[in-house]
Amino acid sequence: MRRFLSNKRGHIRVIEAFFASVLMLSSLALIPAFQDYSVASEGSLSSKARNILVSLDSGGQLANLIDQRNWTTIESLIRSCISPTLWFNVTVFDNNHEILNNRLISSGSTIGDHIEVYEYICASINATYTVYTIRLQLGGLN
Amino acid sequence: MTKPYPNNKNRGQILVITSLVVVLLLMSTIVYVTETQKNVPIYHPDANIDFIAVKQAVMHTAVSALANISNGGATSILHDDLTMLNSAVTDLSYSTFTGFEATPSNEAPYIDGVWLDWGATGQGVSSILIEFALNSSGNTASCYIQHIINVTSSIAVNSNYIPINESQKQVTVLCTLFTENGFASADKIEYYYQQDSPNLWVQATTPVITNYGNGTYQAVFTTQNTTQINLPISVHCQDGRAVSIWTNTTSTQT
Repeated sequence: MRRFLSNKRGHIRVIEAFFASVLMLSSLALIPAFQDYSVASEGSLSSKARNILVSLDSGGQLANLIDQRNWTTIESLIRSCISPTLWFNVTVFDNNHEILNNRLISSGSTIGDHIEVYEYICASINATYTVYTIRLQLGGLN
Repeated sequence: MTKPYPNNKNRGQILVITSLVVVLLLMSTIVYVTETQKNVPIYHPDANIDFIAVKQAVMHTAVSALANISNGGATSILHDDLTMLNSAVTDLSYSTFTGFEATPSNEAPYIDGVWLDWGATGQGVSSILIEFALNSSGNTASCYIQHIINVTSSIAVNSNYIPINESQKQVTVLCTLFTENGFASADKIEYYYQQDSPNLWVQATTPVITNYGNGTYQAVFTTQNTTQINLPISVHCQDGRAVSIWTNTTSTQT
């Protein structure tokens, strides 16, 4: 018993093991937090893209602009809706999935590796009915 | 030579191994709980936004069809347009949508989703009613939504006149435009009156129109060759969505 009490090596190892466990547990506790962050970030850009397109087309303006092939105004409208820190690229398809925009509708080169896409069905309100698909890509830093 | 104390030397190692086992157990528990949580169906409110996007597309389709039909197009256009939209929605890889169905309503007074009532009562209606359903199912949720889309443009007209002489009258026409959202503005309004000698409809030339800004327009014009006491008036209107509405009424002396 005396020998056991005088031997401190076992105690140190117990303390080391305890700290190792705490370290591992704390790193484990952080993993779900990072996972949640990345999921929220993933949804937010496509959700933003969806909100932008739904709002801009609420009165059928987007379809009218596409009918007129007015890509400059579409680019200006989308640019005015998003933060300057975000990158965007728009592609417009007709109902045969052919690309309609003959010029790039974009804010330039990408500024991050995190890009999300939302595709929106844009129905014309004119008497001559047309359905377009607008693909809006949003990118930013993760 | 006394033997060292092997038990004392190994005691710490056993504790380390024990603690590692405990940590492994905790890790596996955490992983299990996390994976179980992922599989629980959670209704994500953002799923509704896709519904809003499709609802908006159906609404625009109805407006387009009404503009076409009210300007002389066939009522089958509504069905054709909805078929085109249905094809576009199902082709598009919305992550959660699996079923989309939009059908013109046949609930009276609608026939094939269309109701045009351009009578002689001073009230005119151009309307479309569509029932649509979305069956949405994804990795985390599934839902079924039914909705009714109603696009209506209507006009209410009142008229009276002051006789100028035996065959001339100064007619005042007051008309108010509505949509399903309330008062609406007009893109074009034409006023007609019926002459009695000869008996034909004539468009009022240079009517003085006052726009009250709340969907109400007043027009004042002078008629020729109108000796009748009750003067037939016809108003042809096109609202801001290019939907046409006509109505006839009788102008009476004030």
